[in-house]
Amino acid sequence: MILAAAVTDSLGQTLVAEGSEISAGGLAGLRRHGVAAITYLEEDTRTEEELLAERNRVTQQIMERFAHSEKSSSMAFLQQIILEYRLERLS
Amino acid sequence: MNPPLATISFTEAIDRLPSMPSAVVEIIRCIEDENVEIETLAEWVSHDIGLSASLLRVANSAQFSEHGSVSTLHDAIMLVGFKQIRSLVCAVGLIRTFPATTETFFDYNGFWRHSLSVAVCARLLAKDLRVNPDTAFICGLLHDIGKLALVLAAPADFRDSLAYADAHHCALAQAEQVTLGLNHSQLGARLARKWALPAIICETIATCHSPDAAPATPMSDLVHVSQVLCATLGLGANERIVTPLSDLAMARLNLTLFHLKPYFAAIEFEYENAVRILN
Repeated sequence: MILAAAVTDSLGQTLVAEGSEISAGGLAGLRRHGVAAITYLEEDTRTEEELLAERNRVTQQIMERFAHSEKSSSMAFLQQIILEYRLERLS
Repeated sequence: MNPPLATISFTEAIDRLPSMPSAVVEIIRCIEDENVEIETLAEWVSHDIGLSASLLRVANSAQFSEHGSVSTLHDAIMLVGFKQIRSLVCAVGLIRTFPATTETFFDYNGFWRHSLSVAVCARLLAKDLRVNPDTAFICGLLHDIGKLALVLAAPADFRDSLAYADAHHCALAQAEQVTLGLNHSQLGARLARKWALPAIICETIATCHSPDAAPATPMSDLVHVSQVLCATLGLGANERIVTPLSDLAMARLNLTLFHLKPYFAAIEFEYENAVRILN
């Protein structure tokens, strides 16, 4: 996979530069260095229509997940930020 | 077939359950002890052949080893890392302890996936909240253990509780209280006490679903927040009605939802990683 952002250690020093290709072994090595998450580029071959359908499906799924939960401002906000997070990853 | 739980006691229900491997009990009891040595840990694990084999399999997986040449527990611990190995042994040991149930109404794999997601989420958040991350992981892993205990000890009763929760649109714990006179948090806490696990773990299991109603601890609040986050992110199998997020627990942890959003990607990454490792 190709890194979308550089991986840095706790001191901010670059361990792997943005745009580098990383293997499963490299990923395991990063984990041993305490790296919890990386951002990588994923080639998206979906059409606009397919993306729109996926966005609708995700939105529906999250609405159903929260449909029976207690109505409160915290839960409403949690629903909003989870929806934003899911949709950001589809854009 | 097991008699209904209404006709047996808590103690009887718990006695029907398998014992936790002694290596796992020892590790959990010493989870906050920084002075446990690799040799001691290897010794505990070596007494359990199945656990040793599982650990070597994990150490030889592509996740940790490029050549798959790890043949001793000592090397496995060195490779995986001393900190991570304790969480890993506990997770492997616990999952192996409870046999996969054949009950079709219960998603056994989904149950463990959810527990694992809460464990990794609690561990991630703990690092920034000055709560012990290893204890947070164990508390997350065990927070719903009473559910599994109920499924194994009294499956018919548990199915009735699920049906009641569905019919009345209420939380499972509330349905259990009505149909069984107890809920899975209480049963899980009793099970943890029977295993002589540290008090903080027993208290967290007992209170993490209802932090507003119980004397609060940071660990209980943390596991509560983690389980709501993982349920709403859809990680693992979850109850139909998501436990509402406690504003009190959030305030006591000095957290806001703005703080939590940046964790979502790391939670999912760690969760998927843990699922892959534990296969």
